[in-house]
Amino acid sequence: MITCEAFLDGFSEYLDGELAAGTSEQFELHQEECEDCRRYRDIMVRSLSLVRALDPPAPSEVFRDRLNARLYLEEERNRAIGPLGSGTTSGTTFLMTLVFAAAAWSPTLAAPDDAQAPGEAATLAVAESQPPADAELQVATGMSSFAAGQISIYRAEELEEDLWSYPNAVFYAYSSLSRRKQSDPRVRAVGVQ
Amino acid sequence: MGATGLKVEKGGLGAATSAQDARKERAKLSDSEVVQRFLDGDQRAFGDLVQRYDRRLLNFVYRTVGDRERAQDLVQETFVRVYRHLHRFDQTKKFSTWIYTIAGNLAKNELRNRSRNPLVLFQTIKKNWDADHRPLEWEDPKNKPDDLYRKRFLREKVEDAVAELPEHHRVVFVLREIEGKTYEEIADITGCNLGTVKSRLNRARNNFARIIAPMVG
Repeated sequence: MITCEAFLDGFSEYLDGELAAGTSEQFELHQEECEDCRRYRDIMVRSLSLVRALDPPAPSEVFRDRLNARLYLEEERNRAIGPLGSGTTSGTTFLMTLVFAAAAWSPTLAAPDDAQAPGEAATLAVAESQPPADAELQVATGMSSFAAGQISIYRAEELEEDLWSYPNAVFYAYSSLSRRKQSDPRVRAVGVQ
Repeated sequence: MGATGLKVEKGGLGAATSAQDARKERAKLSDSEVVQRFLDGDQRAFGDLVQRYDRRLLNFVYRTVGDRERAQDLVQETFVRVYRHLHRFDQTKKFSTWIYTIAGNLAKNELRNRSRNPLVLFQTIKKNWDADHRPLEWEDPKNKPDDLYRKRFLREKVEDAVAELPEHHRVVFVLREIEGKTYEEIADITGCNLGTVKSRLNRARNNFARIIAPMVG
């Protein structure tokens, strides 16, 4: 026969059917003989039935939409990160960081002395003395004068002096990267004051 | 079909029926099978997991933190974390235990942060005050106001009694009484040993019954 104290201590497990068969029978016998413990059992059972009867809260109407939006962002983030995303362990990421850092500081990748300063971009100076041989020129005028704003067009070999010898004109030509260089390979001069 | 309120999917009744069949078919799958489908590239499988767990998690988290809006945020965060880390989930374990563990940890963090932030506490008090002073709504005209009042009063007392339990007792209590988890599952979710779970549950039940007894005795 168990005591009231033992009954109260083990009642929770008894209620959940967690006790061995023999022990459970002792709990039942005790209830038959002890009015206080019987009352305790009744109150406990009724109280717990109230908790189990509580209505579960329903998710709000926007719950799914908000969740979908968050999952979409998560998916976008994974795409942006690529295969190194969440599938990569932090250890791997750390190792890769080390490799990149070592490569960046490696003497073999050090810039030569004449390299431009950081932030500057080197551009190639392209000087062409002759337009393409097969180009057909349509306009050729004399080099005597350049009115302000007037555009004159020449073949390169028609220039009587070098480009810097005409103080009242600016010369220009299409770059070799331009398509018009192929179809219109002439030198232009714009007169300035 | 619009008059009957039946929503037909694009593609006609046949397509809707086959979509329903597919849904029913997927509903028969175990959690681990659904997880595997998602890992195999079936995006709909994640929707199935949400469908299975959103209400249950919301109930668990709401009873733990006592704030419905915040509970919804935390459940969303739970799903996002599951989505992010599902490929790392050990499939020899039970999925439900894993997802409840994530939700439980988030709820625990929320309570910890709240205790440090008086503003949040004030907002919670204000929210409860609003709820207390909301005009009474009669859900069913057949019910007498006295019955409804009594039911609402009792429900609020039960909810208050759950909320009054200490945090570590409350989590165990909710997992057992509301979510119907086994002792072993509760031990896994909370990271406690079996003895601690039994002892906390016993104390939580006693405390709860002590508060509620005057109303049911």
